[in-house]
Amino acid sequence: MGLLAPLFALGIALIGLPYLIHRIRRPERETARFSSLMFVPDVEREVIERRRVQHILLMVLRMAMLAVLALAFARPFREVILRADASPWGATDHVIALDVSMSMAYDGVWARAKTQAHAALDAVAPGDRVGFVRFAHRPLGTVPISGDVTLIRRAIDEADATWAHTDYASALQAVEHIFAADTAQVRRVVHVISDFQASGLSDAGWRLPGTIALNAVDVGGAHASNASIDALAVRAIKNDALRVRARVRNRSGQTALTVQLAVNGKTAKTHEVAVLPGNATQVGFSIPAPGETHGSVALATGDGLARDDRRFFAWTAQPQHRIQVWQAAEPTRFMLKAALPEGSDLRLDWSARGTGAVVIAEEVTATFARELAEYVERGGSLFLPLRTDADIASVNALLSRANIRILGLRAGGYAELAWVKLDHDIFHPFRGARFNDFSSVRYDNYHLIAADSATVVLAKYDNEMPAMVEGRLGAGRILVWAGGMGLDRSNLARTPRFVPLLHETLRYLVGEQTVKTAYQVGDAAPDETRQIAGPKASGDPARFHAPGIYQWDGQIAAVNVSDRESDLTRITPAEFEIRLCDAPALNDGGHATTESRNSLPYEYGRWAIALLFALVLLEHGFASRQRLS
Amino acid sequence: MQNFYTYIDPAELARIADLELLARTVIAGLRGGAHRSMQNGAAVEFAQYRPYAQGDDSRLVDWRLYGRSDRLQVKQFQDERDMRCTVLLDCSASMDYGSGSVDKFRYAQMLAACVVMLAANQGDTVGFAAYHRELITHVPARRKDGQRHRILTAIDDARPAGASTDTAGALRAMGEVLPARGMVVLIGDLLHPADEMILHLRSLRAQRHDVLVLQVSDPAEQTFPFDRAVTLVEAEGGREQYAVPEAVRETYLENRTRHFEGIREACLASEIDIEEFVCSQPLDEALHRFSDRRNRGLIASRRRARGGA
Repeated sequence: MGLLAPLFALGIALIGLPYLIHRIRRPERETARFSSLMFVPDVEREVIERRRVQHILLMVLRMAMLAVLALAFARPFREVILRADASPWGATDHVIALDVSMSMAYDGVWARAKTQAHAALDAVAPGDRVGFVRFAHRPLGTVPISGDVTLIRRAIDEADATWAHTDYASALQAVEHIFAADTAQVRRVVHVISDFQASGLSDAGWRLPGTIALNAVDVGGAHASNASIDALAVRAIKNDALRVRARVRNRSGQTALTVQLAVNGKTAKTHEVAVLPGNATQVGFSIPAPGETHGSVALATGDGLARDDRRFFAWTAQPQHRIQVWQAAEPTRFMLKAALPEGSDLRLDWSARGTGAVVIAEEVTATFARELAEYVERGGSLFLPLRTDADIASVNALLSRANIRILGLRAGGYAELAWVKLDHDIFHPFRGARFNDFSSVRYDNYHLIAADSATVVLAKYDNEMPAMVEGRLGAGRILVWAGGMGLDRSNLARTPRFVPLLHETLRYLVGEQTVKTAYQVGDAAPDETRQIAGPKASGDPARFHAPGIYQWDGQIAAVNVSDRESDLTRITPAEFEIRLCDAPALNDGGHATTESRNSLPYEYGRWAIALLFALVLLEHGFASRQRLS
Repeated sequence: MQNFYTYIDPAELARIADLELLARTVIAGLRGGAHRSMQNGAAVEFAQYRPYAQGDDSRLVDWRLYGRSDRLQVKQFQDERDMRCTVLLDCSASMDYGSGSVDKFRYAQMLAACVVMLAANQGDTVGFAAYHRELITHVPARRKDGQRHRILTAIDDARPAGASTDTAGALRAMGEVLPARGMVVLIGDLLHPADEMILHLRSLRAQRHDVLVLQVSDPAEQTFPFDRAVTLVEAEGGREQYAVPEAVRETYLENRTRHFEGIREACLASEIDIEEFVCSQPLDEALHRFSDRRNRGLIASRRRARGGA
């Protein structure tokens, strides 16, 4: 038994304080003036004796509180003998956790990591057992704990830096599982060999149990500089052209960077960009767009970490969908033109009245209602943003066949959009926590809708009335916005949610399945995937393990590294310990001397704090119940 | 000297002024006032008829009644006289106690000043006496200029003192010096043996005085609010006694209730009004309450008197 902060133990002298206070503040010495004692009876001797005992108990309780407080600060610990019958040579289990994330490929880091892993293995005493974890965004390979050091040595030799990002919590969870698989009561040490990237910490709140000691081996350099392409976006523009925009982030000391665009394996364009250290800028390229193309944007200027200098893109021309606009007034026409520009996969058609495409109708008359109903029954899709002056009788003639009924116009006092059906396709871009708040959308007037159970309510106002509903009519469907899209009715069109919501509404109505063309290293890969561009790397075939262009089933997609990994900001091993581990970090490399190897320091500070709280509660309850001072 | 008007808040005085402190029985007085007297004479309020006797003033004969009944009857009227009111203030050391902002003695001083002012405003003759073991101040009831000022000054000058109280002795002394048929208002905490005090209160009643007892209490005396063991020091005499509140509170309250209930019953049996005033209670509210109760008692007394006649 020992104390980590023995000076605080001097605080135990404070236990004399309650004794002094109790001696000074005796109730017999406390006086109070009273008008007359003629009604006050004498106190029985028994009562006085009982109170004297209670006072002594209270004093002892308070002394104990002060003693425990001093002890808590002194941090008592005890060497826990882990296995009494263990031989002096076999009392420690080690797990070497080797970081193989992309940042470890930084100039010289990987070599140091391997050296340190071997050094940790070499320091293992005869009789100790060792396990191994290779990790990046998840454990990529584990070797269970055993006495066979050669297995571990081989695993270290075969390990190589990958293209994946770092997640320390998942790595340490794997370490815990490895230790948990062995029930022997032995000392446990994990050797984390990493560059300790700050981006590898998550806010999950998970911590390595205190029974596992940490030996943090930092192999990162003192100063890491890195420039990267950390975002890439491709979109179609006018005249069948593509606009490729790349974000260049400069964490290096350079101020001028060369950015190259390669299309279908050939360098197409080169731009020189000036970006100050610590800043980012966008670089744009316009290229002709054939039906399918792929390429990359790369930094020609070299730096310490080359793996994030290139980012790939793949483009497949999306089929254009015809959106017919029937009976829409000028403000709506203007907004539609602004929201669906030329080049968009949703093409507005102002004149023709065909079948199979989405119809946007706004002014519904009795005759027109019949025409629309026939169109929907044949399998068409109708988008109906209601106008303030909509002819309710005509609209109801149409919607009642889809089990939707307009009750009237609600004006005076605004309503907020309080709930949206986030699992519906039209809201899929808004599923992130940052985007799913629609409460800033306000409606000054809107139509009240009554919908039965067959109707799908997509959004509601804060008064629980439906704001967006979808109904079926024959083979087709109707989607109604009760508050329309006009600026005279709501501020929806002024919010950044309007354009994506309108796009997704129309895409949903045309029945389009969005083709995903961008993935990240580590994502699950479809079957029979073939890499046609990018660096080759071995790994789990069920996942994308290297960036590049991949093909399967006639589809093409780009896979890129995580932009988190480009940020080489580091944390100290001490901070790593505080954030992720309950046990204190070791400063002897985890390879303790023979005399101490069979034991593990176990600190009782937190138990002392818990005991102190219990004593405080007990003292408070006792003193108030007995009315003692 | 402190200004005696500090005892009576002008606003309070204004609210109390519309109250009438009415004596319960008709007493004799020297001057027409608001108090009824049992002495019949010529005045404005008719009392009763009696048969004509030789020597009666012929103006008092009810000639209309004679015309109707052929009997000579003489009208009698209730004479309105003023009242001689003497305020007795207990200045014992036990009055020098207060758990709040106003102690019992201060409250009693304010109460005495209110009674004096009220009586004086009605045109009554007012006197004042302060006592603890003996009479320490006595301002006899007089009708002369500056009497009210003298009394209020005496109230203001009074201080609680003395190791013990002798209310019985003070009452006996007052009984000897006071002319019969007046009003005696006793203001004190009544924290002394009751038997002798009640005896002398009864002797005052026997002298046909209208006696009012205004008992002043502190909230702490009513509840014994101590929450931890303490040594109590008696204000009157300095005696010390160790007390454990949870062990003695119940007995204390029982003893106190028994004491004051005994006094109250004895007073009511002798037609002596008694009312408890608590220092935390607004003075005007307490006086209103007391006045209401006293008026109700007066009405009942009249009914009893009529029924008896």
